[in-house]
Amino acid sequence: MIDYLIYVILPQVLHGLVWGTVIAFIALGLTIIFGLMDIVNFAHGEYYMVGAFMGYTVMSVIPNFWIAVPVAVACVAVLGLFTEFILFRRLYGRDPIFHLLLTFGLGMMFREAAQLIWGAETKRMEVPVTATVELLGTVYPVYRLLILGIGICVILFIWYLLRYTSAGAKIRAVAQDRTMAWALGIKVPLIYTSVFVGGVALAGFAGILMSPINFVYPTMGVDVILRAFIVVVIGGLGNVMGALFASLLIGEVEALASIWISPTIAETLVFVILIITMIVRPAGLFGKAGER
Amino acid sequence: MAKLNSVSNFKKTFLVHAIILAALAVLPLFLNGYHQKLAVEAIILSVFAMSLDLVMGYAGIATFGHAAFFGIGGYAMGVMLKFLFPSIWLGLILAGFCTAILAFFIGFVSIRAKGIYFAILTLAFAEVVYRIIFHSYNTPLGGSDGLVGVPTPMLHLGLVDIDLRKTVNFYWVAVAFAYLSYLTCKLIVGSPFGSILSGIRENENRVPFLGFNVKWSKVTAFVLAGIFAGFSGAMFTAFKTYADTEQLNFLLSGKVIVMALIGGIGTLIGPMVGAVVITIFESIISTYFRAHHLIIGALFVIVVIFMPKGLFGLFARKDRNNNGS
Repeated sequence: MIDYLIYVILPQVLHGLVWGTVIAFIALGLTIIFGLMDIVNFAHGEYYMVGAFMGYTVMSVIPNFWIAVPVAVACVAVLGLFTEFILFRRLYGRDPIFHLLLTFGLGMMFREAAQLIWGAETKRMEVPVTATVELLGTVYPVYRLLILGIGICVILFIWYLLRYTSAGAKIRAVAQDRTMAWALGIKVPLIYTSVFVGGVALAGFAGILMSPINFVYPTMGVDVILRAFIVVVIGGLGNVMGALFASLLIGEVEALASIWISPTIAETLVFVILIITMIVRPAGLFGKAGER
Repeated sequence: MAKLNSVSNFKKTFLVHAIILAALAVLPLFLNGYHQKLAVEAIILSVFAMSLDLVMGYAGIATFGHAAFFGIGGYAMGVMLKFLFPSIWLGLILAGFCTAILAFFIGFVSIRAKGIYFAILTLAFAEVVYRIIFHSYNTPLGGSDGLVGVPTPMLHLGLVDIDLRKTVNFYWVAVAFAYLSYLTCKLIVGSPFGSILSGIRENENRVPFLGFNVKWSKVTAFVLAGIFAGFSGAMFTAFKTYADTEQLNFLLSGKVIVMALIGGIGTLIGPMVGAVVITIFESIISTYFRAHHLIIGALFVIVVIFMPKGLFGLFARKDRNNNGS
């Protein structure tokens, strides 16, 4: 019994935590962007994909993972800046369904472009830290724990940023009432742009962090965006704490369920959780009743 | 006001319909085999896009999982023709029945959520359907390989039997199918029920004060749209002789919204034209470019940014100024 717990359950719990952290990276960007500017970014997963591919490209020139990470994140940030400036800017204030469609088309373009540039076949990246560590007798790769650690740091940083800095106060002010915030002299477009860039950079960061564990391929964003959507909706759109909680929930459910059932059915289970949540609480677990 | 000049309007409409139908009827005589096939696909998809208009254009609820009904309709037709009984009619009935049940279930559950939540929820439902069928290996549905080898039977039409294996024949049947679907939908949106739907779109909170049930009207619209989507999916499968998971994919759900948007939602005919335009455009693009999704994606972006009311919306803007949201 105890062996089963240590050798089967524990690794899966850790896998779930790591996976949940990565989903949280994407879901956080998604939910903050929605909370702030009502944009449902269907192309968010594509920034994750671009992050992974940029990392792959940098790695093939300079085979050092720790150089590839900042370069990839910077590239995704620049891409985010361009897209926000050229496209998203025009749709602020419109019905969110238009954003959904705009980003749907954008995601299609990104996927096809990635396929043209890097090819359709899956790519594999070397794991930068090959060491393993013994936890209660079970052997676990250090790199995954590293992702977990980085994830916790980043999430704490975001929380601190939003809660205790003047930039965070401005972001919250704009999210609450953009006209009033604007009247008080907050540069709303600047806040929009920086939050969007930050959000997609976070997705790109998740992409490169995940690429040594998962494969790198043009449609990798689609697999992750659907989960991130579910997480965001379960947590209540625009709700940061809700998204965090739901990310871990989904990560754990998927990891633990795949002990007993096939991973593909475990994936479907995630959708079932969403549907049940929506039936019980239509505005998400942490959403206020009657919201939207 | 509509009643006053309804006689002359009726004559005019009748004439327009007759001319368009006549033009459509002689069109395949000028097309080669490949283009005939393309025309059939475009016409079948136009019904799919029109069905979306019932929920999106009239009831004003955006659904992002419409492909589920198209796909299930296709699979229903495939199962009927391949395993049960080789009759298009029975296939259509089964498709309508299956999609009605599915749409009722999805609509009933999802309708509690509003706006973008509804869109994402329908997306999730469609994804569940997609995944279930995608992983249904070792069943007659064939999993990700799709349901292949669906036979094309004769279409029994009273005394005449039409051989649907000839593309031209299928083309004429498709035109008739699209026209009948259009007339039925026109009837629906012109009925009192259609007015309730438009009322819901314009101001959901006022409709209950007039004594109508918003929730059930929405669910009914959703089910009707699902049934028509199922019909078009069924025809698609009968024509293509296969049903596969591409027909269930969320990419198709997104594509059909853009088709409807390009044509202009809330007009019924707009989405039909949009579907034809996109299908033809996609076929032309894909013959010249390997990466045709790049251009289609760009087209979507352009449509959403520059013409949210679609082609017909551009013309209609003049006299419906105060109607825009």
